Amino acid sequence: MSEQEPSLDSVDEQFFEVTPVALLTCGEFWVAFPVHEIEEITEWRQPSPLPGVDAHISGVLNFRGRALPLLDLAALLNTRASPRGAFQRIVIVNAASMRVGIETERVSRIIDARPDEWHAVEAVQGDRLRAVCVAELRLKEGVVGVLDTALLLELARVR
Amino acid sequence: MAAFLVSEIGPYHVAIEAQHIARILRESELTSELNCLALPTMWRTTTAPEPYVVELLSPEKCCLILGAQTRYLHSQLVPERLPTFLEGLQEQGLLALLLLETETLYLLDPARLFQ
Repeated sequence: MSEQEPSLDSVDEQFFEVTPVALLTCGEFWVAFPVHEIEEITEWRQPSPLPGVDAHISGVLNFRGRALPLLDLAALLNTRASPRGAFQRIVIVNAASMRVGIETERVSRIIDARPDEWHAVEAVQGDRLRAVCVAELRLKEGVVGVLDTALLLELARVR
Repeated sequence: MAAFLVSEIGPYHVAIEAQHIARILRESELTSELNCLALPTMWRTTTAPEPYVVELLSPEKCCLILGAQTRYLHSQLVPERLPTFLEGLQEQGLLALLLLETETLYLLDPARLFQ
C-alpha cells in the first residue's frame, strides 16, 4: 500500500467490520448497503405518488399489508445518468426506526469484502454521494460507495 | 365500519372520514363566508372540471375543493399511521394511510389543512 493509499485505520471501524454488503446501482454509480440493514429485495412496482414531497420520494407501496415509502436514491444524490423509469428492483432497508424501499435499476451481488478491498472515502464520485458514504470498496464493478443507511434515511425523510 | 369520502386529485387519492363532513356543495354554491382551500391548487396538480366541494364540521365554515371521481368507501380497514420516514406529512394535513388492495389512500386531517 502506498503512502497516498487510504489506510484501513481511517475507515470507520464499525462499518469495516460490517460485512457482507449488497451492491446496487445508484444512477451511474455503484453503492452498497450492509446486508444486516436489508430486509428484502423485491421486484419494482409503481408506487402511489404523495403530494407535497420532494422528487426523491417516489410514493408509497402497499407491501404485504404495510405502507412502504419508496426512495429514488439517484434523485436524492443527484447521480442519475438515464431518465427515471428503468427501475427493476426495490431494496427494502431498515435503519434508525425507518423502513424504506430503495429503487434501483440493478442489484449485482452480495459480497464478503476482503480487508484489502475496504478504503476510506476517496474515489467515490459526486459530492452528495460522498457525504453519505462511510467507506468505499474497490471491486470489479469499480469504486463502490458503502452507505451510512441511518444518515441517508435521516437526510431523505419528510420533515 | 367507517365511511370515507374518496377523491382523486390529479394522481393523488385521498380520503376524508365522513364524520368530518357537514355537506357537499357545488362550486357555484360557494359563498364568501366560507374559507375555501383548493387542494388541486395546493398540490400543484390538475383541477377537475367539476370538482367536489365539501364543507367541514370542523373547522366551521371551512371547505375543501377536491377532485372529480369522488365516491364513498365503507371499510373495515383500520388506517395505518404514517411511517416514521413520512411523519412530516402530518404537518401538511395527511393523517394516515388506508392501504387498499389496488390503491393507497391518504387520509386527510381537515383541521390541520386549515392551520
